[in-house]
Amino acid sequence: MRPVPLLEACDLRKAYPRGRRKRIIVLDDVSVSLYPGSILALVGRSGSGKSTLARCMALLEKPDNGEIRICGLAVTNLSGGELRQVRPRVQLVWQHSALALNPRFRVVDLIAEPLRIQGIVSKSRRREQALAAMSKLGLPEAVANRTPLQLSGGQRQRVAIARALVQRPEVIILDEALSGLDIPLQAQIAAILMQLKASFSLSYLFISHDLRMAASLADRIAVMDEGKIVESQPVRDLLAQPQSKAARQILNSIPAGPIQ
Amino acid sequence: MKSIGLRALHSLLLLVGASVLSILLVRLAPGDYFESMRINPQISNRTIAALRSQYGLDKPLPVLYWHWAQSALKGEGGFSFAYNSAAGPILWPRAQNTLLLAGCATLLAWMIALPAGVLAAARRGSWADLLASGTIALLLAIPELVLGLVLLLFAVHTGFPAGGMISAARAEAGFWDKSRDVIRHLFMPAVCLAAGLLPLLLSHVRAAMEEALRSPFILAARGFGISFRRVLLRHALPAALNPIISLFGLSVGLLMSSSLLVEAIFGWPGLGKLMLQAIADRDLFLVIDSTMLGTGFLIAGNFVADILLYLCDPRIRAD
Amino acid sequence: MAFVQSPKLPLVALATVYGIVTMAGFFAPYDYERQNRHTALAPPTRIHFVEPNSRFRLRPFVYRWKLRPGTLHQYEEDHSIAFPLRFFASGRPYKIAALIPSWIHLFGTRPEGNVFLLGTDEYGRDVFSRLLYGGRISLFAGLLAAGISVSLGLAAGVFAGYYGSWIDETIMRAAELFLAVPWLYLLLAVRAFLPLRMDPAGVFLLLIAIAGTIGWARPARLVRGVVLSARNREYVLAAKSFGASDFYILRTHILPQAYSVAMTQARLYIPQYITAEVVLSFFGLGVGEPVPSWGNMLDSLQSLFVLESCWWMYAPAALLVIVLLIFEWFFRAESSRFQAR
Repeated sequence: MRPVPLLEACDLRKAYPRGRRKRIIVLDDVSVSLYPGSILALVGRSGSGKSTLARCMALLEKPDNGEIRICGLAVTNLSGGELRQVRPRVQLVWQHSALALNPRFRVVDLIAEPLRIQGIVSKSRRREQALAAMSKLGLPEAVANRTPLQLSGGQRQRVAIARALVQRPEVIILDEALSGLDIPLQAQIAAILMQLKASFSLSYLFISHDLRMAASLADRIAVMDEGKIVESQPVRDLLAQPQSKAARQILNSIPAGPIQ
Repeated sequence: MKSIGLRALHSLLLLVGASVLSILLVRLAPGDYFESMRINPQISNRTIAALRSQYGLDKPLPVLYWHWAQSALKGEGGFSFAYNSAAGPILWPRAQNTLLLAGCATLLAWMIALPAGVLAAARRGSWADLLASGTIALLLAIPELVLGLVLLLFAVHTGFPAGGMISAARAEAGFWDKSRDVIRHLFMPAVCLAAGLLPLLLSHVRAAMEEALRSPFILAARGFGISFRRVLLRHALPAALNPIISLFGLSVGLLMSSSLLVEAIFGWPGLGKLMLQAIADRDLFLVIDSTMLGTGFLIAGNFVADILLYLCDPRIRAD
Repeated sequence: MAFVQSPKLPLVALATVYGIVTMAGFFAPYDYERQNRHTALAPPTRIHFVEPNSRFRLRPFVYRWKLRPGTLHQYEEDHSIAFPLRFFASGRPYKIAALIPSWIHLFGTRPEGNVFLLGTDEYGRDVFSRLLYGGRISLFAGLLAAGISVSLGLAAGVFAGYYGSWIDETIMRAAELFLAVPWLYLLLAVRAFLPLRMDPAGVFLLLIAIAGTIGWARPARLVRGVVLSARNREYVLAAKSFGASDFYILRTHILPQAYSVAMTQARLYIPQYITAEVVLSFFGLGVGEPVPSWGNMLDSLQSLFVLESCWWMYAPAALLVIVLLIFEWFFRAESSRFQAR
């Protein structure tokens, strides 16, 4: 029997009005399933709709049509208190942490913020949990009192991931979270992500335009082009025999070399 | 063309909105406003009662507005209790006087600010630039009230007529004599008004020119070997026109407020002086109408600036 | 010059000025109402250290003004009695901050003598004392009016920027309307329809309220811009993903930035509102007699004689310019420090 997907998008449609009459269709009947304990990579060119999909699946944007389900439960139309209960289960980490972290706050407060919102009043308890999350990400305690702009790019991304982690999510959506970092750093953080996955039974939706990185991490790859999912296969199959034109284009644009 | 039409409509709506705001103020006046009118011996109770009903002063707001609007469109704008006539005929000559004063002051201020600002920007750090900075800082710190009083003193000392627009003796003189006299009376208040406006204009013109001179295409022009003066006047100045024209629009509003003050100090018989008198006389409609006219000039000034921008800046036309 | 750059110095200067006018009762030898009809429009009392017989006295002394016979406003010193100046002297009682009664003045002299540091006005009232009491009105009216207008603008801007759609439209259109009327016309129009004669306390509050409510539009626009840009930041979205309520987001992420913009605006507005109060009082529409304000004190200058011959009556103008210069100095120092960062 097929297991129930942990996070699922069903026939999502979203369009933005452009000017007076035209509309741009960003998501065109998109369906994506993420199973527990797996890593799904989503690749595609910029402008293919990946980020919008990420936001919809993180319940930060409402699609015009379609449904989002967590463990089979439809959550698209929840609001208020019910929505707030569901939110910690799916977290989103952005590409530019410099923008996703309020520059006026200290690192420890940023990481503890979700706890504060959830209502954990005790400041010491929040600090404790924040520091714990920091250590799991390999961030030294000295960083705790700095502000985001005083950190390096890699440290900032780790802060963002720590912040996502502190709520014990089940799914973390990484929207180009490693892009823009230099290669050794990417590898380092990718390793940390894999460790976290094991320790906390996480599932990842890994969005990237970097097919190599995606392929090295993920179990399955979905390819998105112009608002549609044009292909979705286990990694090995996709690399061996890409079915869609988009997939082929992406593969062809990668310089030669083994993909592990 | 369409955008100009839209802009004109927008300005008109703004004017109407301001008129509603003004009438609202009447409605918000506590009861003893009308009581204090009664105290004025010049106005008979019957007049007050008649006018109250005619203009719907104690009727609901829309009625009052409707009556006033009708009257305004006819060119009357209600009734002046102090002058015992329709408001319109009193307002127009005063408005003209204000326009005369404001116009001369604007001309004077721009005639100084434009070349001075360009020069200061062109020669940064030179004596021209420092002089400009000093003037700006000094004039900014001196409020127009103080400036006006000082200039008034100066006028009295130097024998400039200060007060009113025409000396009584010349009231019957011929056109040229009269004009010369008006100009003599005009001089001090216009200088005062211009001096109040100058720091704002000068600093913005200089800033706009400096900004324009920093842009890459200016550097390129210099690189081609075009003379500095040509670059300055033919290339930088047109580029700086946009903010300068916007500045003109902005300055009209400040000009209206400042001219009110200057008229009060120098006794120039304009709209501002009329407004002050109307307040003291509790002359309801004159107050509203003066406010409306002042607003009208501000809106008109902005509209003119918009049109000029449209004509002068190709980028706006392309939109 | 480095010390000129520091904003602390002008800030101290401003605090001093405000402090002095708050303690007007102490620094002023007289109250603002006491009239001396026999010494109207008298020049400042001269302070002497040397007696007519060339003896030097450590404690300065003054002479009374005596009207020169046959003139209306010309004075000469009455050398018959010398009044030594007393410091920390007992004088008319007053209340510190309107609460604590006191009667010690910085300086003064015997009741029969007069020390008019800045001469007298047309009713024979001490200009120096009126200057201090008037400063209290003008300076604080400006301060409070700026505070009110910026607070209103902050609230309006936050609502407009955060909630958008029709709330934003309405607020911004209203702001545009208020900005379409020249500020002095609007101020006067509002003032016109309120009772002309009010008790001084009422007028004072009125002034603040009026000036405050008229000036909300410009700060509102600025705050709205800041709020709009903050609202769309990813860290706000992130907070939403943690389940934050609108209230939390406003309070934690948006308000601090809006607040700092508002504070900068407030500082710029204080001198403008001080000037506005002075202008309003100058027209006789502000604080009324006998309570002094720098504006209604300057009104005396509209008489030719005073304008030409009584230079001490320009004191409120001079002080106003000085205060504005200090504010200007403060702004320059602040902005240059900001740029230097």
